[in-house]
Amino acid sequence: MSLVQVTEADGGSAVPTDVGVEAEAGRRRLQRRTIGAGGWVGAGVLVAVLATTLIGPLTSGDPLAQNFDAILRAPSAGHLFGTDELGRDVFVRVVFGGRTALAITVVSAVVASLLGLVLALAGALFGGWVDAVTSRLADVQLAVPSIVLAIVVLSFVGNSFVPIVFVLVLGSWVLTFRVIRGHARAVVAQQYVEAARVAGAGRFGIAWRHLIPSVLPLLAVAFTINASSALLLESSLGYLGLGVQPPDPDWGQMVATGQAQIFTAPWIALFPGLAVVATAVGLQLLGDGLAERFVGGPVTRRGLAR
Amino acid sequence: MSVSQDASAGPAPAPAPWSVPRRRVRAPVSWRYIGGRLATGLVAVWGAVTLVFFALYATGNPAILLVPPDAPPDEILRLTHLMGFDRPLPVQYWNFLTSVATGTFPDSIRYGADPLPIALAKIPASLALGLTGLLVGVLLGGVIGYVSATARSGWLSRVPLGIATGIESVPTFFIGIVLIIVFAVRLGWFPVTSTGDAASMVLPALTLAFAFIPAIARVFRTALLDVLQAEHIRTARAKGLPRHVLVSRHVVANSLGTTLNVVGIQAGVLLGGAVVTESVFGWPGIGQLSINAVQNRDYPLVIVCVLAIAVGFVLINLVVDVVAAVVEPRLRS
Repeated sequence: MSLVQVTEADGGSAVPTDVGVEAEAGRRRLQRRTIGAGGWVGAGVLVAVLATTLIGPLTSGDPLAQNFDAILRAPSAGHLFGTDELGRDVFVRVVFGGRTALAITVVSAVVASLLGLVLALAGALFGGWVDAVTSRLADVQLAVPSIVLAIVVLSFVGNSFVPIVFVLVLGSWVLTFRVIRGHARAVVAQQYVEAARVAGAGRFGIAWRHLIPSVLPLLAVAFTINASSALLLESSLGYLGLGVQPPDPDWGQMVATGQAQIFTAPWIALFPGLAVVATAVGLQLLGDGLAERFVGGPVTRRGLAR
Repeated sequence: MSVSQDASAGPAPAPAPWSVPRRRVRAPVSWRYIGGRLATGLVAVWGAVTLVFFALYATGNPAILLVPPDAPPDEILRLTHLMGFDRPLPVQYWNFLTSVATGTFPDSIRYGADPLPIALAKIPASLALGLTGLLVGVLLGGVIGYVSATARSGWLSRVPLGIATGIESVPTFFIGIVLIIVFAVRLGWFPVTSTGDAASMVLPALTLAFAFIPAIARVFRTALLDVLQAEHIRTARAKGLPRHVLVSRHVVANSLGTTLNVVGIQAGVLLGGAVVTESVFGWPGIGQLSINAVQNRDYPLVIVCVLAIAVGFVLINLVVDVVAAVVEPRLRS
């Protein structure tokens, strides 16, 4: 039996259909309607990061503004994160870099989640060769190292927004697919789905009324993990010079350029990297909290943990 | 062949209950098993070649990419014809496959020479770093997993694993940067970039190790907890086996197979981590070469590097599968 509780999603009730211990555990879990302290901390960090990157650009200066009177200044009240070798304010650049990094991350995670969801539901509903083909596709995807894919696509096709998102989506959709597919197959085998089918509901009706409401919590968990792996990969691509190109600021790319000054001004490389870590940790904590609350166990980058 | 048949035959007759189990010589993995894995690997390499081909094809006439920007038009035409880029798609594809199979690539734009030897010359450095990092990562991850599975006190079973999970949210390049700032800039213990001696290996190997310590630790912990609940552990405990024998022969040995399997699954992470790590520390390996080739738009060299990385991925998986099958016969099916 999978860790995921197959619950009756139609009619708005959320009573577990399983009997015995699992149902009891599920009921207890449903009573504890919280994502835990870690989940709240993660959500708080994410809100703080999002608010800073969304509101910050309205109040602070120009990320490209150079000031040769203030080059390589250490962090202080005037320059919160210090200045770089051209006198640019590192805090302002981190705020603006966050916009690029987070926009790419969120778009990639949304597309990856939708792709995984659609393929998983198709596999669960149609079964047979559809399921075989989508599962094989996921296996093939796992067999291609993300770095090879990134080098090939980004060097031959170019590194603008769409190719970067493409690489990130291909690197992370399998997680959603695997998690959702397992759950959706279990739901399709339930008697109420059978009853709906007998009553004349079509495949899309079943998907809309029964499957999608039932997989929503899982989708939320998978989304946070997709977002965190997309962010890590995006920043790595930026660091390697395969991602967002200068002069557009981007967290990973800023770490790479800051590395040249690492002896005299380590803060240039440190703060954009810390921004990545803070966001990724926030996503991870929130994902763990959601998983604990809705799924009943951790979901790892590869799928449901045992 | 006869040896492998022994391995696949039914369970050996149970020893008499009072006899101490003799150390059994395990049957080596059959050639058929290795052949099967190798065939799967070849399919993966073929997939990488196909990916490269279609990425090239999508750019229009790849020949323009494969010669220096100042090449005369007849050179472009010559290469277009040589690589078959003026033929129908299936013919092009076939030509590309055969040129890869025979190791015929256009000259590297930056080095003006056959890119294959250039890439091959970088493999020993990458291998040295990769194996050291792998060893360090498996050891550290194993220790963390072991401690968190067997610790009696609460914090010892949570804190190391918690730290390992936190590390999962730190991108590899930033681990490298932090290690540089702490150990090279502040403390001055190790050089910042590769100088070729053992000291310059320490930080890159640690950086690479951190990339997969979390996965190893988590899986080893789960495997240990699984085995610890098994019946034969209770039996071994009941017959008074010393704790260290119980742990080494029964618990750890039975958990190794699953853990090694994860090392294989993590091979992609290892490769990605290696490319990033080599770039952070200027390590003269194939990862840094490939990133430089991308930045120089040296496409022939990019192709060779990508194929080398793909072959490396397949070989890592093969070796891990074989080793895992040797220590864990249940994985052989």
